[in-house]
Amino acid sequence: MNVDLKTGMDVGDMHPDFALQDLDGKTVRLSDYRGKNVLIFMWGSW
Amino acid sequence: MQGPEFSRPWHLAAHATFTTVVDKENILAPLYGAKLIPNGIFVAPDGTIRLKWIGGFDVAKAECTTAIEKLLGGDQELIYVPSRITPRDLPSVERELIATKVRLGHALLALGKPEEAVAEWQWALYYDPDDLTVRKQIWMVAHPEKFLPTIDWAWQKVQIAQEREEEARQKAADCGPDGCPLPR
Repeated sequence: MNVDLKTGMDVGDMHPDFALQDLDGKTVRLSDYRGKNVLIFMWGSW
Repeated sequence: MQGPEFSRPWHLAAHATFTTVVDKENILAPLYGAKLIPNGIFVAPDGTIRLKWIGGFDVAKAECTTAIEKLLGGDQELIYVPSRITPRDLPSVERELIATKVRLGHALLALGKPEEAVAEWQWALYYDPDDLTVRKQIWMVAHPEKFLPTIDWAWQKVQIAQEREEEARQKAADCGPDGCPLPR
């Protein structure tokens, strides 16, 4: 994955796939949602 | 101070029907060049990023929901709302080093080594003091009582002012005409 770390990915770029675990420990990949609209809401409790 | 045990209460309180994932290794923030949260990223069915909203993204705000609704309606617009924090002009090798230090800190925390984790994050913060995601992660570990059971926002305002003042004083003392020493 080649991303400019200063500004990150731009709008219009293809989002690279990633894999993270959900609250039950199940692996979730962005590619699981290919073909659907996805809103990633990045949040923290602080 | 992260993981499903901390995220689940918020997920339940929101009656969330969407999937919540935990980014323990801080994969996403560098991808978006994000130094603060909350952020919104909209990915179209073909995988294209159509909205990148860094800082202040809130589904309770009409401007945010309007933008999302337009995209859901098939609008092909590209929407970029940048952070109010201007990225520092650091060499790419330093940015990669910072990202690595941040990930290393998360890995150390997961291994039950909070002091070593904080040391790695402090290192990252030395190079990029504007990165609030790192600064707040340090606070969360060093001052958990300011976050649980409720977040003390007033403390955060005072704390960041004090830290920035001390950091500026320290850098002025450390740095000379040949540059600044490495933090350790």
